[in-house]
Amino acid sequence: MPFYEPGPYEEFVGKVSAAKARPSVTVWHNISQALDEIQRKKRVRFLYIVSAYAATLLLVGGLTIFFLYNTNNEYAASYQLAQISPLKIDNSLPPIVAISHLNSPTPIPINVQTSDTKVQVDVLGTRPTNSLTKLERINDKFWVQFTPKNNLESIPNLMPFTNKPPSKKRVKKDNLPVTSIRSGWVFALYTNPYFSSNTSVIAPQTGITKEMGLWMWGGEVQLKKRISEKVGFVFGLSINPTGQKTTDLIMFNRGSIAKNKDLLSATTSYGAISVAAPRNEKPTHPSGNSAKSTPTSLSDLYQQIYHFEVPLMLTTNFKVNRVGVEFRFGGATGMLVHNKFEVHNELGNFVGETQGVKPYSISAISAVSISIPLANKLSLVVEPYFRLGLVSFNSQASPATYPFNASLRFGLGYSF
Amino acid sequence: MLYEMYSHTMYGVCLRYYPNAHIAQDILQDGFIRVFEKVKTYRREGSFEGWMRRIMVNTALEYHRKTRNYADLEISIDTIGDAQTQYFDADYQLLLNIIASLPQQYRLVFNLYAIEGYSHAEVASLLKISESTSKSNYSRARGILREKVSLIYKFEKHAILRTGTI
Repeated sequence: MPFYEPGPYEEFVGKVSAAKARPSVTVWHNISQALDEIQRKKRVRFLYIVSAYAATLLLVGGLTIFFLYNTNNEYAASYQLAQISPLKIDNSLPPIVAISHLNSPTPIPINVQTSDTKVQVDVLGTRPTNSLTKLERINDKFWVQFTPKNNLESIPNLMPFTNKPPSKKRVKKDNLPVTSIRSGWVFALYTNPYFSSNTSVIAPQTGITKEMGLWMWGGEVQLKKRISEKVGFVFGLSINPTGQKTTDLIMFNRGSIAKNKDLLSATTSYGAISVAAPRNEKPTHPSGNSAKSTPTSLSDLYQQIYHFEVPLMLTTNFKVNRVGVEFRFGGATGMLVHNKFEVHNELGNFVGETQGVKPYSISAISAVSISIPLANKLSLVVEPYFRLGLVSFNSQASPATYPFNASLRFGLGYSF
Repeated sequence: MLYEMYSHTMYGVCLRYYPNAHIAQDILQDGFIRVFEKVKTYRREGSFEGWMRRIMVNTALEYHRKTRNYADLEISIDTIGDAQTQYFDADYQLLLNIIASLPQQYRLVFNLYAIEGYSHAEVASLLKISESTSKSNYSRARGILREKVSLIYKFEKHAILRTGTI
């Protein structure tokens, strides 16, 4: 026996809910036209996006070339200045003057002496010390860095370290990187090798010393929020590596700083370095005058500098089948958290800190993030990535150096 | 073809919310455009028809939100007009007339609660009204419909809804 017998009202509700009707033929015509229009707008939007990113890449490339061009000009100007400028006698300076600019076709004069009308160069440092002069352009910045007080304080950081192959320390493999696409928020994690270099390195290098890019590990944790179907933003925290490898670096002896220890120094695009090395007793001149103001044997240098940064990027995306393609452009700012160099030469292996590195960083970032879905909320991400520093790396280095790094980042993303 | 398969059913849904051929066809058109745009996001959770129906309902509610301040868009028997009579048979015309006799908000509450199966809390959330208002609106809508349907039964004891008059 039925518990409830439907009445006229229930019958009416049943009929209404099941009712069907044939729409006008113009409806499909309108739908078809609207869909065509949407497709056309999508194509136009795609062209706009591609154009915008092409313009961005051109801008970044243009900036790079601009910085590079300025770098060359500045270097040429400084080198010329060193060659032709009148030199001032400064007897108050310590007896050792050394400078090595990596882009110099020949080592810049070590000790310089003037006569009445003519500049004379004492490459081997055999002249009396009271007649020493310096290059005025270099002097202010240079001697501030290498006052005996500063160097003595930094001795603990300059002690020889164990003979570990430097490459093994850097090439540390692990972790997967991450990101994904789906709902509003996406969590992503990257740990990847980055190829780091700077604008000075890509300039022509004429000396025997060669600066080269370096592969270093960096990482990033990020959150992405989609603010519309096509647009979103990304922010996070990252450890950004900057560094370089320098081969055949000429380091100059700047005198004794402790018993049986000499101070060796050199200047690189990232700033000056100095180490306290055991005294080299081997004479470098037929007269038997060793050490002072003379180049040591060639060294290999690894500089590794890390910044803790906060990146912020705008994103636009589209899909090709199930694969999401996302263009990203933005910037990052951060602070210096790690600064270390390693020097390897016949006197031993040394570590220390590159001097004059700015404690902050500002950079521009562009990337293309390709997201391949793996599971419901998980996706594999492949991301060509490029980052260019917008402020000169070292406050004391001349010419200005702008670091950049590039990577093909891999990761996993989780949307929630 | 998707449109051929579902257009009749979906048009019926649209007419329940707005028993006016012009408005219902606009909603149907917008709804189908959304369906074609979002069809790749259909996750196969539930029936495809149910998924499409939700899109149509949401489109109708969106239309309601956009036009709620315009009293002239209120549907009534007088505004159903001649345009649709060429498409609907007499029974369906009668059903639409009964639906159209409800005030707009009553009609939305009736559709959402009695036909779509939403709870009063969900209806209140969708229409941005209080739950008690939803209950009250439904109660009054049901009262109006019962009265009209009973009247028809009273005069047409056997062939209910077979005439074109109330």
